[in-house]
Amino acid sequence: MTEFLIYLATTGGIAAMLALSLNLQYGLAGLVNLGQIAFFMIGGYVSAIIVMLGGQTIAIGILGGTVAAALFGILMALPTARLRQDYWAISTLAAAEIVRLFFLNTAFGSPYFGQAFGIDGIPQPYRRAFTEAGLTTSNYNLFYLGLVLVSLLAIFLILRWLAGTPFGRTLKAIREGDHVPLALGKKVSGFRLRAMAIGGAVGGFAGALFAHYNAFINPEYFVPIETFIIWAMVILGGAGNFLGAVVGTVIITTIYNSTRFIASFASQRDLELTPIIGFIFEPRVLGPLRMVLIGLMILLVILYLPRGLVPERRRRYGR
Amino acid sequence: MAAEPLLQVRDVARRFGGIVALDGVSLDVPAGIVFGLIGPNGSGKTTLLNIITGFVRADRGTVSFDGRPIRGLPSYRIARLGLSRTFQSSRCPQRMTVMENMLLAAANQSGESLGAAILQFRRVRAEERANLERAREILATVNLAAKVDELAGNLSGGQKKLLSLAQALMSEPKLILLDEPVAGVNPILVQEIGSVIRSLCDAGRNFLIVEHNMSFIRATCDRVAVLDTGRLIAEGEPDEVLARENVLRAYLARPTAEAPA
Amino acid sequence: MLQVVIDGLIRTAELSLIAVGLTMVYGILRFGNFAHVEFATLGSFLVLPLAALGIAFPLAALLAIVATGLVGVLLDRAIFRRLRSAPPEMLMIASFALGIMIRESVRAIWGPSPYLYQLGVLRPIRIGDFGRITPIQIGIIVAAAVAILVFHALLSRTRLGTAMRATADNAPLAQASGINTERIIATVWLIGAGFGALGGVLVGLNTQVKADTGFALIVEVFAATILGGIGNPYGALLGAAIIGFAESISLAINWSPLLTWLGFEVRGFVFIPTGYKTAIPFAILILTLLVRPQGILGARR
Ligand SMILES: Nc1ncnc2c1ncn2[C@@H]1O[C@H](COP(=O)(O)OP(=O)(O)O)[C@@H](O)[C@H]1O
Ligand SMILES: [Mg+2]
Repeated sequence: MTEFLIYLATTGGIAAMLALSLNLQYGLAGLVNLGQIAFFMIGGYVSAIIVMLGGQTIAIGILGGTVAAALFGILMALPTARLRQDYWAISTLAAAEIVRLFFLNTAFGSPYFGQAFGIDGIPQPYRRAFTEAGLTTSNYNLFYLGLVLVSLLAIFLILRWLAGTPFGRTLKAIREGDHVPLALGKKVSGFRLRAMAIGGAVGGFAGALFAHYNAFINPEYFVPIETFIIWAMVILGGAGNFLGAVVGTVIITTIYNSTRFIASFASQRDLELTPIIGFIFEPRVLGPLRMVLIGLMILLVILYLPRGLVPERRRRYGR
Repeated sequence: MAAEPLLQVRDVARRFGGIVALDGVSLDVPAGIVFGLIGPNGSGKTTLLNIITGFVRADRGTVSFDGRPIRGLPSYRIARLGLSRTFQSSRCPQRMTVMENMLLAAANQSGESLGAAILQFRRVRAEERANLERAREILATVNLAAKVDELAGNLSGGQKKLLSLAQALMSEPKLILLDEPVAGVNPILVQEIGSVIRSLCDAGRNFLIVEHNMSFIRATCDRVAVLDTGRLIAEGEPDEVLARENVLRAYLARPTAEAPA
Repeated sequence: MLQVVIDGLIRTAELSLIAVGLTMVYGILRFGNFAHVEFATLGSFLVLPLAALGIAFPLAALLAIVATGLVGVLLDRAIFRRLRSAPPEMLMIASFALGIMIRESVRAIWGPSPYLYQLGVLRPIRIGDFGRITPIQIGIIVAAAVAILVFHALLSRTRLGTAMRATADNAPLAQASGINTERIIATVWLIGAGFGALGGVLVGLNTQVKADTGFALIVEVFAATILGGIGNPYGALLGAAIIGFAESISLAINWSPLLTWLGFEVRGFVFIPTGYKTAIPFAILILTLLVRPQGILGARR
């Protein structure tokens, strides 16, 4: 159970980075990016490829994954100046699927590297040192959890600070439309570009951390529904508030993984006695039902709590 | 009077599909005065402001500002040259506070560049402090000092117009274009906005104002031009122009527009 | 080559029905409804219990279509009506959440494995030496054509159609001139969701009944809608035809002459790998948006 909780906290911490990144794009800059998962995928794949095929260190791999995802963010931002918001949103979904289809159809070197097979045996940082020192896998997982949480804290602080700078303030103005910022001399396209680059970098970094933690990645991990789960985190927590994104991540991660908790609560006999509950708790039903629950929560939040659990804060200047 | 007008519009035309919004408009806006642009609804006033500020492209004609041709420049570049504008339906970001709106409007902020925000944070902080002081002064002149921490979305319609004006002032422009700054504003506030504009003009600011409210135009403008279906039909002193027969006819021909009172 | 045309026609039939509904709702409510494709899924599944009751397939399909249309009206009442004044991105996200709820509910109820409609065995008909078409496929094309013609008549010949077009054009003005816009909106949801359901049934007939039917088509449907100029039902038809044929044609084309002409060294035939088939509409969508963001039939803004 503890092992599982550590795993949950680590992947949750990585998901929180994705939520923070999306909060910068949507909460601050108003960019409806439905292809967020592409950053995660690019970060993971590029880092794994750099390390495994390029023979570079893991640090360079992670850096490469981060930069590649940032560049993809810039690419996605390029048409924003000319496109209406909803057209741009659907093209981000399409762009993310193109990225996934690319990795799904491309083999790197051997047929077992890439394509539907994914990438297996991705090296983990300092893994050998742990083994040589006689430490266990649990020790290593605890170390990685620390690594993730420290990175998460750093990203959180940097993004929150950024939101308070004149740069962040201009992003907040842009989320309500181009006209006023343009009339005030702000080069709106440049701001969006930078928001997407930073968002991409954070998402790519998270993807690289995930790849080197999980040691295995596969195109199935990066389907569009994953993007929606990140959206759920941001909307539930409160768009525009970075703390909210983290709170949303904790709640959604818990719900999403609740299947395993519930399974350990209810004994098989209980389930057989009550047909309806038994039906609901069947894994093939429970899996989709948790998604229904997440969707329902988002709808309720939008209808009754549009600013989320932790609403955006105003900075006060009154004397 | 200076030899060169501050803003020079020459033979500007624009159609939207079959509609001729502007049909060869030429206009000189000199420095040192409040210039009024009036005309019935749909006569092309907003379109002209949009063309001047780069939000709409002209089909033909030239625009120059402060001796520089500006037609075809992107709107943010035009704004940086010192040409600031407000919008007819005041659109200042509603989910930002009054003070955030004001700080947003300051020109040349080094903190908008990521590099500077990270590396030169002292300089950025000093700029912020200076802008904060200036914003407080401007908000005091437009009577919004008590609202600094209010969300712009919670202001009344008149207060939003004042905030847009204050934002325009914050960027220290050479010329301010106001699109219907008192439409839908209560009469007392109308007078107040008028006197704020007058005193700012006396302090050296230049204005081009599009407005429907005739008593406001009479009280505030030194000079007016009249647009009708995309053409300039009159220009001169407000009292004299508003009494001209063709101006009256242009207004009376349209049942929707209010006649000059 | 004939096979390419048949495949393209069938794809066009499926896509156009779904796209027409999406574009109509957009025309009136001005937001991209990401849940719309799920009406196709829902419609195709609702046929199953009805058919299991022994209702003849065409009637079962009709009932499922009407039921899905009513679900559309209900969802508008329960959710989107309360968000009429919300910013469009909120509507988009709400519809995304709703879409997932519909899709995953279907998956929870009917389980993960796909279904087939039980229609008995029907032999394909050979057309010359080059292609084959099954009676079902003929039925798909005919059903879609009839639906589109009925829709066209409705839009252009009836008072309801005029009111719908007026509301899409300018809702406040339509309301001021005595049109009950909320009723028009309900009608548009009914028709839009119903058409989506028909599209889904046709996909089910052609292939399988799956929980992913709608979502797998989301980019194609949006691409068709945007290509034709969003809000324009006739544009959506054109867009659907372009996407439908582009998929089947681009895979059948030998690209080597083009590549040679572009200066690449090419040996033999060059086909686009079928793995990339799904990427084709995505690429068309993005290219269109880059070159002509308002769509082919859309007015320049
Ligand atoms: N973006 C646009 N698309 C189509 N027609 C427009 C557009 N902008 C303005 N028009 C038309 O141009 C004419 C002038 O409009 P406008 O400049 O807004 O007038 P005013 O500000 O004097 O009321 C009107 O007939 C209006 O309908
Ligand atoms: Mg106007």
